[in-house]
Amino acid sequence: MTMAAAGPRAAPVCHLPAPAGTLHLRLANDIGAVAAALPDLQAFAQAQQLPARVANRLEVVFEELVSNPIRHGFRPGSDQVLHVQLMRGAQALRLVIEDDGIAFDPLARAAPAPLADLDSAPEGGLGIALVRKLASHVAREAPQLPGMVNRLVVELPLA
Amino acid sequence: MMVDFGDGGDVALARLTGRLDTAGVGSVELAFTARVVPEPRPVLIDLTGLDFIASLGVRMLITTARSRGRNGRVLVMFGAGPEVTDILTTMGLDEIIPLLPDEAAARAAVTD
Repeated sequence: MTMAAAGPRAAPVCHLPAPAGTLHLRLANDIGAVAAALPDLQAFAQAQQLPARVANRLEVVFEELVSNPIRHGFRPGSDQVLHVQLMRGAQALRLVIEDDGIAFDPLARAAPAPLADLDSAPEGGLGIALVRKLASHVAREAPQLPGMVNRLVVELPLA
Repeated sequence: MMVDFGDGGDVALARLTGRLDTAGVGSVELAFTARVVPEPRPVLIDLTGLDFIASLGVRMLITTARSRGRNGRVLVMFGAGPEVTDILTTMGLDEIIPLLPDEAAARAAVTD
């Protein structure tokens, strides 16, 4: 039996057309895509003149919400994708992440209690807990892009 | 992402430099925990060169401090910049692992 040659892998990050002031990236199923997208995120933060604290919080939320589907929601080696859309509103940044991984609601679990001591501190769920603390709004919504399964909308205060 | 270790006399130093994100944790966690957990002296984690931390980095610090704490061993952090401090305090990590402004304060905290 002859195996079909694998086609060229998609670029880890692809820019898609978006209205002015909006960033739309498509990320491949590659954990390296998280780091590969950082220059685009940082360029957006610079263009929008975001304060350093807000820009850092944006990077943290991006890291948490993009790395999770790639690490846990995608089949290894698949051509599954993740869309990231980022826009600035009057009071908040709006980050929308859609993916075609396994259906998953990261908000289904109750927010963990504040860290009280080392022995009771959780090792899992810290990422979504951090996103909840940083964001003014987090919601799972019906996907809007064709073929996507999950859609998470996060708003980060500008001040 | 790098971790390197220093001999501070009656304390041990572990310096984290770079981005403690998913990839960064993957590259340093084994070396970090293998060296820090069994260290008998108090350990000061130097965060002055840390540019970024996400939840996996926080988890690495929690598990390391917990393992040390179960053996009665002390671990403190110092020198975090404003953005890293923002994330650590938002998570409440400074409530369970002392976060000091600089090495002198960290040394004082473990020798008092």
